Amino acid sequence: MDALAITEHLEYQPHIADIPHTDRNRSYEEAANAARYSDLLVIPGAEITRKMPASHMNAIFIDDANKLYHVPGSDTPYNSTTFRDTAREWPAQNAVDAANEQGAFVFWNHSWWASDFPNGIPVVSDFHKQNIKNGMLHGIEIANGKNYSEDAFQIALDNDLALIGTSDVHDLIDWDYEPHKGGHRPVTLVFAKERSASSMKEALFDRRTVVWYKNWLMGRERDLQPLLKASLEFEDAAYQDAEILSVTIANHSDADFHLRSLSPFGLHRHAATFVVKQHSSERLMVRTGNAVESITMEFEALNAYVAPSQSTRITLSADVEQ
Amino acid sequence: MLTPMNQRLLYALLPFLLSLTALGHGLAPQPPNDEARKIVFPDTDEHLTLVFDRIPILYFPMAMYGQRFG
Repeated sequence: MDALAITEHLEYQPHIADIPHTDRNRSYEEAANAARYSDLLVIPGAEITRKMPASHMNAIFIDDANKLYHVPGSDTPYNSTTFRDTAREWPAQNAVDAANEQGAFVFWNHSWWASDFPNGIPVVSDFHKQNIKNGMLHGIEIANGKNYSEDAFQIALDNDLALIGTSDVHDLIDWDYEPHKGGHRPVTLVFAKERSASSMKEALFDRRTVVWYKNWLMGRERDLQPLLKASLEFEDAAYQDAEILSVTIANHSDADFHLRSLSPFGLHRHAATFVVKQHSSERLMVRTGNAVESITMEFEALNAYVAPSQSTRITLSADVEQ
Repeated sequence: MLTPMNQRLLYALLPFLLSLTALGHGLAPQPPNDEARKIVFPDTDEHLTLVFDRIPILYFPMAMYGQRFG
């Protein structure tokens, strides 16, 4: 992990009787303090937690979370329900405006959420449309926790929103994703110019992201192609004892790549589809017919998507050792 | 009733037996090592690849109350 945003629910205070939690910047301050001796970038944020048409939105890179919600003083102490209901009376647009005044990157959370859309098909509301049009809503989660939405993916593409994937974990990563068994949290890969919060923010506003969810990668072609090219390469192409070319595909990433050969050259010992495991390599035997001095092969990356039902392709090349 | 000889033998073996009991429970489960937690994707030709997530920090998990607020 390079960066973690802290996005506390603003309107929900489930333990308000015990923990009033009056300063909503404290969670970020505590996390930033805990990470002060590590390389982790801790990003200040908040979750604007409303019903449709606004639904839940995250604002990150904020200056002051306390300005993103408003609950008037009361002679009668609030309980969690009255606090939530009162907080929701302050227009959601005010919260979005306040976040944008602070220069925040704002994105729609788990848009397919059953509370908002029982059929699991999110619909972009007029509230969202207006904020997208005004440049005040910048991204949308397409993966959240153990859920992924093709519809959200399409909404992102249709509306020029950044593709975001997050764990939104409320418990422990070790419980939910079992990294010791090879699991991982959903994350957003952000393509930044430097390893800094400001550079990451610039990249998010420029929509330079790919989502890694389970073993799928989702991103725009512009962002996915360079990642695939950095992850996969041909190595050690040579004719050995026969006239069949041996070439190795190395995988430098955490994803297992499921590939389908689109090359006119046939594969020996492999079917057209095969897997190159994470941080591993797979040796292919290629029937080139006549000996070639260089090899170029195209593959469909079956688990790398540039649209909900459209996987991308990668071309790999190498000179053949003489 | 143990004879003095057996008593001395028992005292002599006691530390060994107690250590066996302790070991009998086995080692406590270990958390995943840091390597297992790392998420690694290479940098591209033009950019650094930064791994990003977001979480809320709740003082007590809301799931304990049977609620999931998202």
